[in-house]
Formats: sequence, C-alpha cells, structure tokens
Amino acid sequence: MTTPLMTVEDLSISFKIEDRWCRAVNGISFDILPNETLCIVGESGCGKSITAMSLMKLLPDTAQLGGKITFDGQDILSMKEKELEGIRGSRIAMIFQEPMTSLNPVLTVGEQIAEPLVLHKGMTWSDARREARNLLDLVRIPDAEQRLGQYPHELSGGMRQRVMIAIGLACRPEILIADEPTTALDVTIQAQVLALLDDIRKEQGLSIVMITHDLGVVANVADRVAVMYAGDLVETAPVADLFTAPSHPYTQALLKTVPRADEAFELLPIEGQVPPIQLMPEGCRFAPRCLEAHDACEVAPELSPGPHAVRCWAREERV
Amino acid sequence: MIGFITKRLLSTIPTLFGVLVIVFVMIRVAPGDPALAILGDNASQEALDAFRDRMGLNDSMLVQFGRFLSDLAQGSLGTSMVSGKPVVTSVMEVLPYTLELALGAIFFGIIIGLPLGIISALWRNGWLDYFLRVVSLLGLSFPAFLTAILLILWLSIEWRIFPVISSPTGGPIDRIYNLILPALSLGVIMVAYIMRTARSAMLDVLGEDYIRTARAKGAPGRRLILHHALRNALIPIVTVVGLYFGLLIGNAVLTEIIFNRPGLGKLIVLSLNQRDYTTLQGLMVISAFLIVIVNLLTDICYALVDPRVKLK
Repeated sequence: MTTPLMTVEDLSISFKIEDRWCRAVNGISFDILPNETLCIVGESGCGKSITAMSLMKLLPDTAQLGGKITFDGQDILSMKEKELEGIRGSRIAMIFQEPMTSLNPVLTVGEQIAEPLVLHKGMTWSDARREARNLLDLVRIPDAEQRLGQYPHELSGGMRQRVMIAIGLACRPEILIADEPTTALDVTIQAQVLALLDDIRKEQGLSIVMITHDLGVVANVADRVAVMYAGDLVETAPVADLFTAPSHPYTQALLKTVPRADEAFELLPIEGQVPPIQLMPEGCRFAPRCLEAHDACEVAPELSPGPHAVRCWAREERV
Repeated sequence: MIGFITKRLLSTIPTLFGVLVIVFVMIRVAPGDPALAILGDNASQEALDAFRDRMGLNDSMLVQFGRFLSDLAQGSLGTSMVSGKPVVTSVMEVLPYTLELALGAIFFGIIIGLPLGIISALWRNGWLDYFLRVVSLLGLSFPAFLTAILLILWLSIEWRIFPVISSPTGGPIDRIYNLILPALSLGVIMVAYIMRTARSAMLDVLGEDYIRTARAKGAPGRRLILHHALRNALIPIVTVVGLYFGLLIGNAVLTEIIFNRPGLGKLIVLSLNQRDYTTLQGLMVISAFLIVIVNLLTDICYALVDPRVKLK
C-alpha cells in the first residue's frame, strides 16, 4: 500500500456562536495519497471549504481546531505561523473559488506569480519573472510575456483562474488544494480548466484535493471521493465504486439529483435542508432527512474500515 | 494624460464662474462700506465720494461685475482698494506660506495617522484600538485654535522647544523648524481623519480574498500588511487627503493668526476687516482654483495607486 502524503485524523473545526462552541467539522479522517485527485463533495455548508483551508491552517483565529493533520512527519495543526509560512505556497498550495477577487487588483500578474518563487526559492525578482513566464506557458496562457505586465482586471475569468493555478504551481508543490476552482466559470471554460489541472497532475506527479459540489466534476477528474454531510465524512470510496455502488443514503440521494442523458430519469431533490451548525441533531446528522432512518440512528455510527468506507448503521446491517 | 488635464481644467470653468458670482454678490450684500472702513469715521463726505467714484463703487453691481470679468479675462485680478498693489502680487507673496503650512499638516497627518490607523486595524477591538479611536475622536472634536494654543503653552512656553511666534524667515532649516509647530497643530485634525480612514480601509482590505491568497502563498505578516493590503487601502486614504485639503486651507486662517504667520488666511481676515473688495475677490478666485488643482492631483494619484483607474 502506498504511504499517504498527508493524513488527516479526527479533524474537528468549531466556531463560537452565541457563546457556544459549535462543531462545523465533526471529527473526520482521510488520507491524501501521492499523485491522486481526491474530491471532497457535499452541499453548501457541509464544511468542505473549511476542511480544505485547515489543511494549510488558513482558518481565522476564531476557529478552534482539533485532531491531527500529519504532513511529512509533522503535525500541521501544532505548527507555528513561521513554519506554516515555509510550507504554504511551497509544498502545499491552494487555489480558490473566485478568481475575480482572489487576485490582488493592484499588483501585476507577473509579480503575483513570481512572489512565491522569491519567498520560497530565494530567486531574484527578475529570475522569478522569467520563471513566471514559463508557468504561464504551462497553464496555456498565450502571449505570456505581455500578460506578465497586465493587471487581473485586464484578464477574463478563465485566464484569472489559470493565473491562480500558475501561482499555485510556482514552487512545484506536493499537494494542490483546489476549492471549487471552476464554480465561477462558464461551462466550456470549466472543462478546459479541469483538463488542465488533470494534465498537470499527471505531468508533475502532484496530488490534488478538489473541493466541489458538482458530481459532474467528480466523475471527470476524481480518483477517490470523500462525501461530506453536515461536518461528517459519510462515505469515501474510489470514484468508480461510488458511482456504481453508492452505500450511504445521502450519497445515493445526491446521485439522484444529477441529470443524466442516457436514460429517462426523474430528478429527485433531497427533502429538507442541512441543519444550521448550532442545531445539529444528536446521533447521525443525516437522520432527519434520511428515508431509511430508524431507532439505531439516534447514536452516531462510526466510519467503516476499508477503501470503500461508509458511516451508516444500515450499511453495517447489510454487510 | 495632458489631454485629461486640459479637459479637467476646462471643465472647472463653470464651477469657478459660480464661485465668482457668489463671492462677488456676497461681499457687496454684506454690511459695511469700504470707503468708510478704509478712510475712517472722520473722513469728509467729499473724500468718501471721491474714493467711491475712483473705485467704481457708484456703478451698478452689473457694471462692476462686468469690469471684474474683463480684468480677469486679461489675467488681472485688479488692484487692492487699500494698498493699490496688484492683488496677484499680494496673494502670491503669501501663498507659499499657506501651501507649506498645509503640506506640513498633511505630512504630519500621513506619518502619524497612517501607522496608527494600521495598528488600530490590526489590533481591532483590543485596548490599543479603543485608546487610539478615542484619541482620534478628540483630535476631530478639538477646535484648531485650542489645539494651537495648547501646543504653544506646552511645547513653546513650558518646554521651550519651539518659538511662540513662528515667523517663516531665515534659511531652509530655520524655516522648517519654524513650521513644525503650526503644521503639527493644523495637522492634528488630519492625523485623526487619516487614522480613521486608514483603519476602516485596512479592515475592509484585510477581509478580501486576495489577502487569503497571499497568506496561502506563504507571504509573511509584514509583507501581507505593507505590500498586499496597504497598496489597496491607499485608495480611500488618497481621497481623504484630497478632500480635506480644502478644509486645511480654511483652518489655516486660525493657525496663521495664532502663530502670527503670513498666509492666505491672514490676508483674507485683513481684507475682510478693511472691506477690500478686490483683494477678497482675488483671494477667493485663487483659493477656488487651488482646490480645483488639488482635486486634479488627487485624480492623478488614483491612477498611480490603482491600475484599474484610467485617466480619460
């Protein structure tokens, strides 16, 4: 078995709401393997974005973090800010959902791409700028030389996201975290950006953690999938297994919300809403919306072991 | 750029004309008679009549205004009713003093207000932030003359660091030394404004997505604040500096009187007391023009700070 690049154990993230600590992420564990794309899927508000941010400890001080994130033998969560600065952008990089607002409007594209190289590789600005030009070629931006001197507002949305990717890849990180990188883009551009990420992953052998709510994206790029619901990791499986044999009632329901072209298919929305974090139910957090819920669900089930892991009593009975 | 400046200067002509009309009418509607004010209560009726006749005060207001405009079109602001000196000359004599005072005040405003605003934003809602916010509120509410008197009492009389009467004479060093106290007292209000603006601008900017991006790149705290955040926060700060320049010229009147410095402010008060219509008109035209220029410079600064702004 391959050694994981990063191991997340029992990660919990709490925020203080009206003087009470509420767990937005409820003790989740998963591995990131070398050269794979791991997709974390879930509805809005299920805690996937803050999970992604916590992998680099980017959350604000108001968040209370628990558990352990091991990367290269060290626990990210107990690192000092100085040590984290050394890892961020150099060994773990992140790209964000909104390419419009994620780039600094008053700095040139060239400077923004060159910055991590200067910070981490000790390059001079002129060397870093030359390297930035190569990175623009890598993310397939034409007229790289001219683009370097431009500002973000002079680029289209798709271009900006490519620039974000170039920034992320600048120091050849081992892990690239992509938080809904295509949500803000047109469908055609989405496909291009996803294909680009996949190509780069294969070329450079890095691992990608892709946060998304879009199962279409998952089907396209994922090697493994982790499904999150209301701060819990409810199912994790290799992508083929998840689509052919979804085991958690939430995953099953989620798959029914995706339109399919190949057969007459009725779209079934999931009834109800994700509860707000200060009103999380005891026991299984999905139980109130689950069609298969029964008495046992008043106690939270554990995630089953194995590559296709499920957190559901029903599954335990079936096995 | 040159096209932009020309266009902007031309577009200010209607504004300046409006200012001219208002100033011209207001001076003449206000009570008081220049002939009496200048020649004194004991002047004979003949002398008063002769003076009014010579100054054209007996003509209708429209004729007077027409004369003023035609002078202006020839680039002249007329001559002082009191001294007979060309208005332009007497204004240009004192303008540098007011300008150096205003620039000094802005200088203090920036070097004190900007760092304090940043500190306040970084320690948001901490005791330092509360303390600085109260101090800046005091700075805003203190009348300029009171600040000036307190500074004189404290720094000039008690500690004898600066002169009480800061006449701007001597070499450049002396001149700067003499400027410090008046500029500081005029700058207090600027410090407060810039601090408050810098604080709120920094708080806005620090919450932006691109700051998170910069953190994700591993940019250390100092670089995050001074390079990524401050560049963006400068935009509203430039606005405040430009906007309050006019206020500074107004406040400079009191500062100049208290420190007994020559300047536009003192000249305005003097001409007002003497009902020197021509000098007053000239002063207003030049002050209004000054503010137009400052606004223009502010716009040019925007383009320097923010690449999204295009000067057209």
